[in-house]
Amino acid sequence: MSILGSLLSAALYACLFQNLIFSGGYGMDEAVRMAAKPRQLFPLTLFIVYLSTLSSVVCVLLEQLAAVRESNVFWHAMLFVGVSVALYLVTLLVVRVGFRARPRTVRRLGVAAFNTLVLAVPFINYRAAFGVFEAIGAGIGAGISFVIAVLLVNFGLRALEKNERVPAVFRGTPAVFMYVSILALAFTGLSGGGLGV
Amino acid sequence: MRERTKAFFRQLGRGIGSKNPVLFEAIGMAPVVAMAVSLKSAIILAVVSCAELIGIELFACLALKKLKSYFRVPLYAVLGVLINIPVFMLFEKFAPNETQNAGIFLPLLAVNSLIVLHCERFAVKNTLSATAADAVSAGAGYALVCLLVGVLREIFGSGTLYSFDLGLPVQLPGFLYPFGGLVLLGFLSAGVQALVRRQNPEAQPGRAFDTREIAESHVDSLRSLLHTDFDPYEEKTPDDAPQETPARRKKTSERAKQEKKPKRERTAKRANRAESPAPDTTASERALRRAQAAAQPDYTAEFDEILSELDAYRERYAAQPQPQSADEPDGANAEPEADTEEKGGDEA
Repeated sequence: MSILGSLLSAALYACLFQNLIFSGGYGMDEAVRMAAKPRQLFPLTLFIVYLSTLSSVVCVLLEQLAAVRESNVFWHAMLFVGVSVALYLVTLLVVRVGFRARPRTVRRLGVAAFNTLVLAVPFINYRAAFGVFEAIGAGIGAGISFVIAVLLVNFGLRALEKNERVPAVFRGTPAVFMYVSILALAFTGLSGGGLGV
Repeated sequence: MRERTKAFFRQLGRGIGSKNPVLFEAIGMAPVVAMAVSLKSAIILAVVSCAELIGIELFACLALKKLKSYFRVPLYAVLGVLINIPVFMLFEKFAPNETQNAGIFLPLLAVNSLIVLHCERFAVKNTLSATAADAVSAGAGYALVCLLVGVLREIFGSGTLYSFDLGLPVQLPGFLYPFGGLVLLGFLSAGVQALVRRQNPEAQPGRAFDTREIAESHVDSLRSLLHTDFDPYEEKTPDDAPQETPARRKKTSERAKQEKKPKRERTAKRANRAESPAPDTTASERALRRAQAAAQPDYTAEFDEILSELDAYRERYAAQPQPQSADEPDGANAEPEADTEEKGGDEA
């Protein structure tokens, strides 16, 4: 029960109360760009959930080594990037040779493996001293938060495309920024941080 | 030489203005939104990002052109970390507090999407000088936006500039959150767009954020998986519904239904389909198709007549009692029947 509790609390923390994308800003580029090209959303989300969960578990296990535990943040960065590269290459081999994936899907794997969201999860685990089950929860939560972000931004972008009352100088990217900022404001409210106004 | 310098400055101007990677393509905005909360942190972000972008883009142009793209991507991340470490050590010596405040975002700059996209779009397809110009112009544009956002957020959010108190009566700490950064990016982007459009009224730099594929559905795969007409965005209009849902299951069920229908209905349907235009064609194409259909002789009515005659003949023939020949013994049919069974078995 405690295992399930720690897993769920970490997942809810990552996707709702401290939404990694809107409240933290991690992976915002990928989420916004994916919202504009939503066709490959589900393969990308699967890759993100898989890579963030697996890399966060591997990194938590590596943290048990004394040499790793005592190193500073940049050696940790080297380690986390190394783990991501190894996982990426193994997955690439499986996807390309085993499933004969299309080039577009393979490109999505690259985007999923090397973005600030997936790399942030091991860092959050390291900072918060999470255990294995919390790391799994954080990884899954990161994936869910990505899906939530992409779907919300996609809804908004579709509405913005149709809306002719947007002022001419705000058409395109400025309107996207304003819309994402409103979403980020909403999620900041969920995290409980006061605005100090 | 002068022309080259002019071209370089023109590209630099475009990188800062109409082709700014953050303001118009929304590339690399995550570090700006999360990290650039003061001038000092913005300087760190700008220096690290520029060093990484220029270094990796030049390396990609020189050494990674022949490598496949899926092997290049992890190399960018590794190179990013390798460039990050000395810069981080330098900043830790001169500005330890700011480096600590940057938190985990400084190492995360190694996987900044600005680097990957510029390397993949430009560096591996162009010459060294063009790549250098692109890296410098994109880096300058990115750094300028970082600094502007950092200055504005520090002034509005903390009431200071480079840690000096400005003595402002009101502070809005909301600007220190990511949404504050996004609001500033929105206004900056709109401001630059207005400036660009004043020079060239037809320019639309905001359209650099590609939304051509936005109407493409990500729920098609879900629909086919769940066998439903799940349509959250109301994408399907009654006219284009059959084209929009190419689910294999639906197709096969339709085919099965068609097989069950009598032949006459099928031919009539086929004739109707030949007459009715496809819904995705234009009016002129439809008119042309109608004219072609009118010019062709209509065999469908004749064909229907032949089929009805055949049916009538078959019914008449079935109603007549079939004479059994006395010459043939009862067991004579046994052999050929067995033959046909064998044949049928083989064919199966």
